[in-house]
Amino acid sequence: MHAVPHPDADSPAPPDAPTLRLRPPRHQVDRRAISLWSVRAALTAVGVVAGLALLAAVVEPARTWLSLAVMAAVVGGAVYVVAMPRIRYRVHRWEVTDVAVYARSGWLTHEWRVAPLSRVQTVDARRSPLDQAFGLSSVRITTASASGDVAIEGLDHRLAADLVESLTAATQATPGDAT
Amino acid sequence: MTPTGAATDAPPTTVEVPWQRLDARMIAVDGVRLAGALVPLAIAVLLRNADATAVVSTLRTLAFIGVASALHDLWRWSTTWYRVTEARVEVRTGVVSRRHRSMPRDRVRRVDATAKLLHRAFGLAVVTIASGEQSGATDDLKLDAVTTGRAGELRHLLLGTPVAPGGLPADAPGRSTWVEPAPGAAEDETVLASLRWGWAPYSVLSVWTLLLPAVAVTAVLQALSAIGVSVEEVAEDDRIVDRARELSPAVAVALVVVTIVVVGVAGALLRFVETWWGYRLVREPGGRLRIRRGLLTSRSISLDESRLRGVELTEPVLLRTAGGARLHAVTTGVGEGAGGESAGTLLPAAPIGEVDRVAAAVLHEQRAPTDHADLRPHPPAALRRRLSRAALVVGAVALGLVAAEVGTTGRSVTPGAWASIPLVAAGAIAYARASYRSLGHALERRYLVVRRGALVRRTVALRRTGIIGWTVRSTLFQRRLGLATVVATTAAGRGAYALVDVDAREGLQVAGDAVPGLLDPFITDA
Repeated sequence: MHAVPHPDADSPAPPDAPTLRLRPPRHQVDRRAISLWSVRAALTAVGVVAGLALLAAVVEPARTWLSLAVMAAVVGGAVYVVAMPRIRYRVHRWEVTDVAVYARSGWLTHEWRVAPLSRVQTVDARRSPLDQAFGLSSVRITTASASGDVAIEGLDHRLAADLVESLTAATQATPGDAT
Repeated sequence: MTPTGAATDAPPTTVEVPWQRLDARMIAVDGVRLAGALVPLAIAVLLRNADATAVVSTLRTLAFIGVASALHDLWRWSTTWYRVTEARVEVRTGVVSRRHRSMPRDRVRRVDATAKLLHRAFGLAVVTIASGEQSGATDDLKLDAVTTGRAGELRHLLLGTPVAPGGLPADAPGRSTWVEPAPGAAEDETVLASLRWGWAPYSVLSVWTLLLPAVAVTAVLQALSAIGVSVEEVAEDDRIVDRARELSPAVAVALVVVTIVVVGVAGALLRFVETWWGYRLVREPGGRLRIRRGLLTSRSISLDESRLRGVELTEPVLLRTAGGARLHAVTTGVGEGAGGESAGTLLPAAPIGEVDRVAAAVLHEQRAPTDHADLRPHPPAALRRRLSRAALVVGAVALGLVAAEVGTTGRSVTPGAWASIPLVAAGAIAYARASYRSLGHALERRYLVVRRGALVRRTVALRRTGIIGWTVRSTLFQRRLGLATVVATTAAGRGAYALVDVDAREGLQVAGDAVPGLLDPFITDA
């Protein structure tokens, strides 16, 4: 089923750990996802630093310790904002074959998920305000298992719409209640 | 004001199935509850002149809550209607804000009948109809209450019992659907297990046996202090304190321990009797498993056998040392059991041999896959991970003590606290080792068997046909050690069963072999 375009089918795959022999899924997510994740990480980091700084300003006795924590949070947050989106971009990949959805996500912890099309129950595209600002969309595929969802973040929103359409068509072709 | 909903599913030739009320005897039940709620009020009135205003106001609140809930229940009864059409089970409630819920009949996976004492006195039962959806118990349809006879009819109607393709018996066109063969006439049911009183001691072997009395005592003390009764005052009034002083500390401690143990054991035995009285696990014709049990609150649980995906054997450490285990069904329509007896519990805590026999019988196998499966241990790297975590715990405790030492200037941390470190270390290492020893997996002819858990060891035999997806996870540390966590996802039970810290190569091999064509296209030999 190749109704979905391959935006970057020949982009170089990141080096896999040698012992895990799951091949990387074929497509990379949209490059704008790096910006999306950076903004999201920055928001988180700023929130944490601001919270700690507020505590340091209010809690008199623990001010020295909290100031140290603020400094640590600033350094850690900076590293997180710079490194996480780039690593994530190399890890996040996805693919739809004739029989299954296959996706990889994470940055420090890698997670490969596969769900057969015959067991897919719902397919939907979600766009948070941040997604919309970058013209992105994330696709969530649910199965009858409470923990079998496959999510693909950071897709171009038109590509996501096409993907939802083709997946819906493919799953409707399967009879039964997919349990 | 009989509601007449449009029978959207029925073909035009069929006469519409009428809506039915819950049983009228619920009015009597609510009446009794109302009368019961007035008792605290009466006591409150009697106590009015006594010097206990806190008690009086508590009793009044209790009475108010009781009356309100009884009246609310009466309102619920008068506004609830249900019906079973050819294709759907429908329940509508409310007048002002109406709620119409319907469940396709082919989605029904479990039908429960529960009857508390009051319901039983009036021959009623609460029927719960659960679908295979995982979205939670709120989606269950609950009929509170119908007669026990009607409950049996519903059970037969909604689960199994193959009838005409439309779902209605062919000889009853257009009539109401209550034309099932009389329930209870099932002579050809197979008894898979029934209660043995010798199992009772196994139910006592639980941490709750000692925890519950402690919790109960705390709760009572809290409640007493909340209504202004001080334990110290009571003790001073009595001669309890004097008597206690005469005892040596050792005797006093022994007395408390013995009391807690006796109360706990007695409580556990009572709970066993209440929960498992008259227990029978039977296979009914038409592919249903049925569990009946309960002394005061009777329960009947019917599971659609075609939705059974396996069994889970749980062995809490106490029970395991005594050679016992518990058995749960892994099936859609029964989510994760919250500790004790959930709807999927097939058997009370019982000797492992008996558990294996029942597991095999339930799965239609010669021997239980959880028993004879030759579980492969996970690589030593998994043990190393667990030992490093233990070291982290010990380190954190030591760091905490150092911080306390530095923080409390002048007063040093007692030597006893430092002496606890070897104890913590020993405990953490023992836990790590136990956790590692539990890890194991096997691929049987029809089952994937996985095992994990230090304090509660869980062995799951999952039918390979029930696996509907895979998740492979590897953290930074796992990748360095060549490990991975391979998770089989399924519509049944917990929804996911994991091979934790398995050798990455081997885990993928198992996943690829378990369900051909699902994960193996993505596995390469590179």
